[in-house]
Amino acid sequence: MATEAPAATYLMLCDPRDGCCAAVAASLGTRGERAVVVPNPLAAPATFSWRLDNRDSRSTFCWDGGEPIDERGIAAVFVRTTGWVEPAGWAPDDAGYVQGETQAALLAWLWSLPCPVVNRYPAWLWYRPSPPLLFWQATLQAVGLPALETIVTNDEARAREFSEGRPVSYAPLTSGAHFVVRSDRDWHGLAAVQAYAPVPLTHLHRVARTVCIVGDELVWDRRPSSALALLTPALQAFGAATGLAFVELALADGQAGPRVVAVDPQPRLEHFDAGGRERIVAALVRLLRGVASEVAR
Amino acid sequence: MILVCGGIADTVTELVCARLDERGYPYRFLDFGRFPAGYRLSWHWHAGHPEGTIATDEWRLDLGDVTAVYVRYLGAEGRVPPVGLTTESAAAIFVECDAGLAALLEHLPGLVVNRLAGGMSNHSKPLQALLVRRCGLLTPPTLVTTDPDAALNFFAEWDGAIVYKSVSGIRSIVRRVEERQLARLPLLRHGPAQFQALIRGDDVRVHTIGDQVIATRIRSEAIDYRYGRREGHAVEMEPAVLPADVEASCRRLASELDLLLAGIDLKVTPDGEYYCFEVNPSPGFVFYEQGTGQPISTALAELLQRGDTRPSHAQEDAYAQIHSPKPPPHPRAAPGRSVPVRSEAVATHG
Repeated sequence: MATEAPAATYLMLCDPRDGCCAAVAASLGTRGERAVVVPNPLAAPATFSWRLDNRDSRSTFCWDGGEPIDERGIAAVFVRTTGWVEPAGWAPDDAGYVQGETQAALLAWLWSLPCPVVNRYPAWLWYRPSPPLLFWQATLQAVGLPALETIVTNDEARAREFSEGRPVSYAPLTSGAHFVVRSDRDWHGLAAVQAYAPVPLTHLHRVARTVCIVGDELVWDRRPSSALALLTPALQAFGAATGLAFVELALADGQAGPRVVAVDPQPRLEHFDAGGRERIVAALVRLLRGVASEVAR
Repeated sequence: MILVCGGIADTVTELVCARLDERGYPYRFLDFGRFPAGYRLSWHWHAGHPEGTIATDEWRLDLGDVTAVYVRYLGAEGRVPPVGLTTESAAAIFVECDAGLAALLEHLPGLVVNRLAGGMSNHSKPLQALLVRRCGLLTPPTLVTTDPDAALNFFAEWDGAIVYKSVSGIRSIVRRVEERQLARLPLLRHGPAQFQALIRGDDVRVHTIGDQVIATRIRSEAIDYRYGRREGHAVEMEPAVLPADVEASCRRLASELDLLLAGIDLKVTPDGEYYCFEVNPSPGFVFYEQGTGQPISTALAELLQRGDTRPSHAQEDAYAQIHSPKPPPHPRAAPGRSVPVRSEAVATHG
């Protein structure tokens, strides 16, 4: 008598407070799918083992004392974390080490899995999850998406020349902060910073529209202007070119035409209204389930 | 014009500059040790690539005139701390300076030894192992686990002849697993560790410089020869010749990682099998060159002088196709086992 194969599991790698992950897991649940939310598959209460050699790559995963799941029993993985390790209880050096080990193992494991992974981040993005716009410029230009102009300079005169007498925005490349440089005092402050590091500057832009790319589907935060709507093929191409099935872009629609002002490979549902959130979650579920059924065949 | 970015006190960068000087190849030097002091840098995106200048009081270099770059980033220890800043602030400034330069060098047309993104796989040894397999080299039987029982079984399976090493690039010293250490295996529940079957044989360090391959055989009783002398073991080196297929695999591995200079760690068994352990994207080749007299720095100087006449990756392909380890894994595309590989179109960088 044939034994019925156990139902495949959808692995949601995220902080349990992540609203997007919770919504996707809930939606999968209402469709009878088994979704497990796991903050870190490489630390207790999870148990993880991965064997790799030239003949094979096989892994098993067990969550909180449950039944072990062979990698072939994973329908799809939805990734919202790079494997956060709570530093409490660790010496600072050891915390950094365990964090590094966890991230390294998780990245490789996700690349080894035969199932769909959304997103299967490349190493450069895994280790820098929110790179500034500068790092996306080549891809944006390659797919025909104009981007906000940025200058990087430690030359005070060149910075002022770039401003054309208008305020500019200074956003350090390694922090999420940004500052508007407007007054003489601001410019003096910027010059002081330039003594230590070249600064990236952009012109100020209007309030941006946000679009979430989910597979081939686009979800806008508000109805896009006709100029923005024309960018649909380029936006879809951006998703394909980056290998990111789930990515968010912010675009400003100014006099010079639309410009991408930000790229976020970890989209945030809170940037969208209730209708937008529903569409994103539905698209994600279709994406995960559609691919999963192809895998099943 | 060649641009060399590194530390004046860094022996590798110093040797590259010495070779360029010796051969009369002109270059400009950007000293990470004191940058940006003494330098004026301005650049922006224009027509698909960065445009701008780097200048000092003595010279001015248009980025459009840069034909080749050698870059070797420095740790905090190689830098002159800016006056008036705390250690923490100085560290933040160094990171910000590096990020700005990386954003430029990643996308500069022409030959860049090496673009940072290509080496990011080095932070995950099993990720590199997946690529190593694809390139036709052997990877040691490996277990990455948080399960003490799985580790114990692996130990038994290999009759205790296993090593442990970091999964990432942190604390990357290879050590033999001793019987007495098995009592500590329950600590695995806190985080993963990587175990590998002990491969016996001689170490072989392969440097790929463009298409050129220079191999060095290292004989040592130490598990990790890099620390052999510290542990009282002799370390002997000599030039080696690789089988053609192994040499080709090394070239392919470096090429798929977009590394024009790579240090590939192999071990050759008494049976003549070659196992690959990792690929170093910023190899400190001075150790091997001094030990054998092999012309690694000369080969690098020649590569830099030749430059790259082909279009840069940034121009011919999307950024993510360059740096994504495999063709875009669009989830709607036909699924299959995902193994890091870039498209062949961008894998021919020589």
